[in-house]
Amino acid sequence: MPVTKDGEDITVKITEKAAEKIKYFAEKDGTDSEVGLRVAVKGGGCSGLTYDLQITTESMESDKVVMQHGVKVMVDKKSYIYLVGTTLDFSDGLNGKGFTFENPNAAKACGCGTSFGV
Amino acid sequence: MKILMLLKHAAVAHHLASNSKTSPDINTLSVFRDAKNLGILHITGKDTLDLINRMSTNNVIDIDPFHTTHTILTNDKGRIIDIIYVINMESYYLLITSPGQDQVVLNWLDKYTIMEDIEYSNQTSQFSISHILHTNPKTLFNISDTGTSSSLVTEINTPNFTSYLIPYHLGDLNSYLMIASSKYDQSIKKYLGNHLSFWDTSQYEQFRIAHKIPIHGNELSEEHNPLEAGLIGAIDFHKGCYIGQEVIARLDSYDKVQKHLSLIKINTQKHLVDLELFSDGKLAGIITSAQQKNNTDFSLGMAYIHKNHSKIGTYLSTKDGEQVTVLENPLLFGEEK
Repeated sequence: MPVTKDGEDITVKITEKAAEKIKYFAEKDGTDSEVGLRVAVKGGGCSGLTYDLQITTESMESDKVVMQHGVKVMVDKKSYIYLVGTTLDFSDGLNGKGFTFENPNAAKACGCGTSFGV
Repeated sequence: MKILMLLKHAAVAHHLASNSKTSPDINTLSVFRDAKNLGILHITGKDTLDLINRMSTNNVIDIDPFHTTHTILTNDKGRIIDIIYVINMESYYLLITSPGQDQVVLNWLDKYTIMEDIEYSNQTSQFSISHILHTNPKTLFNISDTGTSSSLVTEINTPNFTSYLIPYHLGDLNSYLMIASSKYDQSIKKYLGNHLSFWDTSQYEQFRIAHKIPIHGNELSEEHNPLEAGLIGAIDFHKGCYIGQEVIARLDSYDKVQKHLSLIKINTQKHLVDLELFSDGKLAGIITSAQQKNNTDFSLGMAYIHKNHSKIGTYLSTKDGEQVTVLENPLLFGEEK
């Protein structure tokens, strides 16, 4: 089921905790104004596809862009089909895994959590 | 019993010794063969090595310009799609695939190319490839060789053709590929023919088996994983994820590899490929390649043999009772890195 915000589809939903962490990394990166996150899919990895996160504010015309918790989340057209409905969270602490993806399109995932197959 | 075992091992050692005597000395070879059936993919784009690195077993990310390396494309079950040879030509890359695998490899890479800056082109029909077995073929073109340049891609210019001479590492074999536009095919063959002996398919096949070089279709396929095929030297266990990595790492860590590709001696000259091998009536393996050895009454072959029966010196038999001896469990690219 698609995630929506104000009646609009959100390709990738980010939790508040993930947003805070993205802002933290963006600040460390020297970003002092708008915080943007590109979420994409690359080929390869144990299960065939790998998640890719980049802190950037540059968007492309064909991107799906949604502001969430003060973060501009951008997803390109090709990655969209693999990511629609995905939730990006952040888990910390001793057993924390860092950024985690809950992707309803993933038929399988590998142990490291950054790779999936559809 | 002990004496019998010792005699058996002595006999195997004798076979091995006679095997090396009757094989051509790889350091004095001066031959070439037509390798036109190898596939060639031409690839451009800044993400090329990054993608291949995420999709294959070896670390290819740091291949310097004019250097080369082998890597294995595996599927998500860790089975072999193909061994590919990656050549960094500085402004583009060439991928050499097994015969008939060019389009399979291209489709596999293309399937996982999503946002990457990569352009593929299958140029198999536009190139001619000769495979040269010679310690230093540059001397054939009056090019002096110094230091590390023997491992580099070298441009060859003659009045009649231009081509690239590319080191092609196959185990302990000094081997080179000569790649040129297919329009130079005849002039290159004529030139090489004036300096080297020509090997036909059958001559190379005999050499290939004796030197334990697996090929796609016989030893390498989606039926087998790189560990079974003795390709551990082309696997980097520290590079991180690639398709099939978890399966391969688990097989290695828990010692779960069930069979080994072995060099075998068969006391017959019959057609043997796909023939099953037995130990005390139980299925122990299957022959993948075999060819009669010149001037002998036996054949050498390669076979996948269950780990319980793949020890050097083990005797197996075919269904018709011909004796088969395990001579070696070769590792084409050496031991684990």
